[in-house]
Amino acid sequence: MKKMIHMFLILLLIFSCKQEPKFTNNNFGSKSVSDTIVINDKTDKVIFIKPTIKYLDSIKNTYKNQDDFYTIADDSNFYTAEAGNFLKENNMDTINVYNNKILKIGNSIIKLSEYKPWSLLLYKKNKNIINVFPIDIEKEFNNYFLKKDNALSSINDIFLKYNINSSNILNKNEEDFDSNGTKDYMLIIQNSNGTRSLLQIENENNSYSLLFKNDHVILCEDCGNGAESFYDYNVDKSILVFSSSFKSDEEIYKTDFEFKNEGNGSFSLNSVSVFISEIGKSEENKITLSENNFGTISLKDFNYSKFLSKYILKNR
Amino acid sequence: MGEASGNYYIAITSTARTPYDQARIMYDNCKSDLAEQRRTYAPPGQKVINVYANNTSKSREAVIKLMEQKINELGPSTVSKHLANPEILNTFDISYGNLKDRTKFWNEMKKRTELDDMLKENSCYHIQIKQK
Repeated sequence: MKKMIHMFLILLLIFSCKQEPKFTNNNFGSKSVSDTIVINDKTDKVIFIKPTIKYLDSIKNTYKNQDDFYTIADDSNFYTAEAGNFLKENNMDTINVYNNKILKIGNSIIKLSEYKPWSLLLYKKNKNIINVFPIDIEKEFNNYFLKKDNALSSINDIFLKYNINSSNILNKNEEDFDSNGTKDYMLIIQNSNGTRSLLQIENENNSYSLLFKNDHVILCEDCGNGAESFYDYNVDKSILVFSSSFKSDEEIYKTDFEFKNEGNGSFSLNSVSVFISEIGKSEENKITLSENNFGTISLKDFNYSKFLSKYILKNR
Repeated sequence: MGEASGNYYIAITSTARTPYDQARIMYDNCKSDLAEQRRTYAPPGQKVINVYANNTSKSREAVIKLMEQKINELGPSTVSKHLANPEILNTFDISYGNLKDRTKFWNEMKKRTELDDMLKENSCYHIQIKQK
């Protein structure tokens, strides 16, 4: 009997446990008695600034054509709801607060009347609160909550951080490689030891990050015996190309490398054409290599010397 | 437009919506704050909101379906311009934060004879183009 009671209690416990969602959604009404709302500052959250009824009634009358107000409000409702769904899918806490309130989060006091209604505040402990519009939530959410904190506010900050003297930049290309509407950079810099590095810098909403610095793409003509040269380097939004020439005791290898933008700003090796001729002869043999031969090689990880010895010279 | 305004990257954030999507959005917003919704829709939209208010005991999907029916009954474009038949009135929003030159875009768009209406909203331009 005692055993049965224990079993019953265990079953009762199991079935009475309802899993709570990991995120919360709180409403703070315009009729809330206090003007100041104190928000828990421990967890990440997004605050939806809602227009009060008084505010809506007042701006409605400022439109010559009241239909325009309804169109704008309809779109604001649409983007706000879609932002809410996006945040719910990402398990983010959200709070709805009217724009006549004052928020207290940790030591920050925020007067919501200073912000546009139907906009959002993104909050993360130890980070400045930012104000964004619901239409931009996906991008801003990623930048604010997910992106590594080493993003910098200008390209000069990148130069400072990575000790790059702008006079050592040999080549600078500006293109919107990741199609986010802002210019990114591909740079070749001259290092003090004579080597050259290729750098790709991403610009996401004027927040700059070094995607990679690869010291092994551009061969160092001054480092060897002068048997190698690098030329015809060119970059545009979709393709990065360069050519090299390598001279062995018997043959000359002229190689054209083509890297293709995958569409998100990441370049990977697409094709390699090698023209081989015997020294002193004009006749050339052409070999074309593709991903079928060398697999997937990103520009970030590409190593010219290793590629040359592994795929071009190994069979000679 | 891109060529004329020097904007070669133009992001459309919303275009034609379906009556179901409109009903779903309106349902969620009514649930969150009915009073606000009452202030943000013209009379046809109010009738859709009435469907929500009169059916609060029904399931979410059931109410959304009823709201969708009401939108279709009223004529979708009377509730939202984004529900207009795109073959007659093409409605879409352009994120102006992504435009290289938003002023030039606005000015060039204003010159278009097919433009029905253009409004500056939070971070986007709402544009209505007459197709016929």
